[in-house]
Amino acid sequence: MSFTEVNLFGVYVAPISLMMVAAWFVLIALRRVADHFGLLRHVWHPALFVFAFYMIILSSIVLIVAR
Amino acid sequence: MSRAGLWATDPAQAYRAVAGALCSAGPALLFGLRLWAAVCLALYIAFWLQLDNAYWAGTSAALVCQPHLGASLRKGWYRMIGTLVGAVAIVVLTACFPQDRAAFLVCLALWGAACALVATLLRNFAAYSAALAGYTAAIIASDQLGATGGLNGQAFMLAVTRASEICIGIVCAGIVLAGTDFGAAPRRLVELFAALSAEIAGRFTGTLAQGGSELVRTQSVRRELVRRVIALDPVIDEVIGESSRLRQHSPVLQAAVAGLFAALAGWRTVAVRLARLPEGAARREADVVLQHVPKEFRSPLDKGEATRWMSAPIRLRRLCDAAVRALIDLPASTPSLRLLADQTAKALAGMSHALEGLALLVADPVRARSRRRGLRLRVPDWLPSLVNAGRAFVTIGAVALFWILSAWPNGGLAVTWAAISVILFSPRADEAYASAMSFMVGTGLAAILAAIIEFALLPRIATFAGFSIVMALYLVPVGALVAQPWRTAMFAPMAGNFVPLLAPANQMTYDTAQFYNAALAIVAGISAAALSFRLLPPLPQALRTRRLLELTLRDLRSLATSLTPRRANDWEGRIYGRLFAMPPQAEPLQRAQLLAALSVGTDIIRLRRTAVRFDLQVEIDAALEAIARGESSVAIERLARLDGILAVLPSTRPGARPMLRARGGILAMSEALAQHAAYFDSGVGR
Repeated sequence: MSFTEVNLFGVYVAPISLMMVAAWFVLIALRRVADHFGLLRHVWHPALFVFAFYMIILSSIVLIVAR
Repeated sequence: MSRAGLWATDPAQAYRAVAGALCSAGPALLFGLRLWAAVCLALYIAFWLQLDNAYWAGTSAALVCQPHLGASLRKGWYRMIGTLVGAVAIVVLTACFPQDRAAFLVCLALWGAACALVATLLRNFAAYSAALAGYTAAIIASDQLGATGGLNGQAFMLAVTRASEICIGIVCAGIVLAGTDFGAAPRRLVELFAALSAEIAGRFTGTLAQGGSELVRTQSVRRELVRRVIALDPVIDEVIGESSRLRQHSPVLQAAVAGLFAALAGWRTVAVRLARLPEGAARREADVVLQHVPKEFRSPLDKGEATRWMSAPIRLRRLCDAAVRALIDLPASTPSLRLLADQTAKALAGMSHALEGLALLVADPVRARSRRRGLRLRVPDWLPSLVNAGRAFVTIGAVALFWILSAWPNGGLAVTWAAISVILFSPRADEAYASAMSFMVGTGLAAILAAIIEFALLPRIATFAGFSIVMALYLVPVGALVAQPWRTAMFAPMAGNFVPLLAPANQMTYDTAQFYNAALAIVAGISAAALSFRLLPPLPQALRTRRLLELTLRDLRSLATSLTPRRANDWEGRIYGRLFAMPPQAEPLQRAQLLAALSVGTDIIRLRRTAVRFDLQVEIDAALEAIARGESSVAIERLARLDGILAVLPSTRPGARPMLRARGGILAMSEALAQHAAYFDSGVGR
């Protein structure tokens, strides 16, 4: 487990906030790919799908860091 | 040439350019100065009174400040009401569930949902008040809840403190704004009223003068005018905020707006009738009616026309009333002429109401306090409000649950900001998500700038004067940005949320971790609200418009089959409510369909009364039953049969004039049904 606070320019921030930002960047990249292939057109509720995907990415990052 | 080059070659011209730019930015900068003065005054008083959380007074002052005086004062009043209601609600909730965290949080989410529902049902600042009642409860709850949702029993004192601080902020903003701004809302409303009234009167008499030959062109003009009349509503709210005298007479202003709608409805019926008559007959009948319309209303449209209306509204109103009487008494030989005379009288009576509103605004006539008709809430459509309420409940509940499960120390703040954003932006429908995102970006920028000010500047300041100068460095430019039209949705939260982020106190503590955690909680709460608008989106505007039309059609069909006598005023009020609720992006044709339903409904109510007098209930029921079944062609046929029965009644019989008037109503109804047959026959409302 390495969930210690991170020193960001002198401010100690919670590691989850950095993981959330990292997950968001990954999501942006994946979303571009999905847009390129028009995948979101086949989804019933695109916003819900994207949110669910974000949660999967965030959970994966948390699990990787926790190892 | 570059600006530097201009200073070198022609300093005089460069100076003029700078002076011109400053002059144009003057009003915006002045607003920035007012905002700063209001916030500093509120904070000074709160510090002097040694109140806990004094920053709420400054926040309240910043939120109440609006570029328009009337809007600020009106918002202040409603903010006060909303705060008091929210404070009472949270005290009651705390008293009901002192030992039950889960029930308390569920009820808090339910209260937020109820406030989101009411905020969607109401308009303008009344909606803001309802939203405020919802999130005031959440703010006080977050102050009294422990780390993971346990109550500390301080609700009453917190409610009293918050309500006092909010009132201090509102009063300070009111004093600063009313003392430095004399307000321009009545002048703006006068110009809008005069321009609209003059244009409607000019174009309506133009239709009569041309014998109705340009129906298609006037249709689009009328539909655009309907949109402009609807846009008067927020300006009236501002006017009521600026003047207590006008607030007493607000029913006159509301009647003026209804009068403009009535004038447009009358014009529509006249235009359709004239277009259906043969050219010669149309011109002949239009000329007869036109002779009774005062010359002052027949002027061609020009820029000076509105000024003439503003200069003599009382005289014009007298002329208008005289013309209405003359048109009602006009001896008409045919139902068509009777219809034209009655509808012209209806349009002029509407103009008379508009002129009364104009006279109230410009001529300042001495009058008794206007009687209010009693508050009656007419709900155009429940579904958007219920969706918003559901979203508010789910969002507040989900963030509260996350807080409890994650044991996040700043979770209470996140719940508060999620409640603020989800309740505040719910009534904005299609713009809710974009507004929430702008709010989040604005708050994020305010957090960064507040951090710089708090940790780089404030530690060097020891006096309130120095603190005020630091506040001016931020609030004056941000206030100026709020007063300009570009990205106001982002700059407004930058101004309003700066003070709670900075959280100035008599004894400042400079804790970077605490600031970061609080800022993160605020941004997380707003993000949760923005996400909720994506996951549970508001009803699309096309669906809302379709539903409003369907509900109107359903009401019309129920009116057609109902044997209980209805009042025309109730019907008109209901349809005006739906016209106001129409999304701005609605097609002009859809507004025209609502106006047509308005005329048909009014005619049904009048025709039922006439039917009783002439013992024709069976015939009228048969025609109205066809309307209720969505068979316009059958209804037109049966109405023609009814017209035939009325036509053979001897003209010497008592009640000949009401009979002719009823025949005119039948004609108008038949024409509206024929013109919008696709709408009236649609099966959706069945």
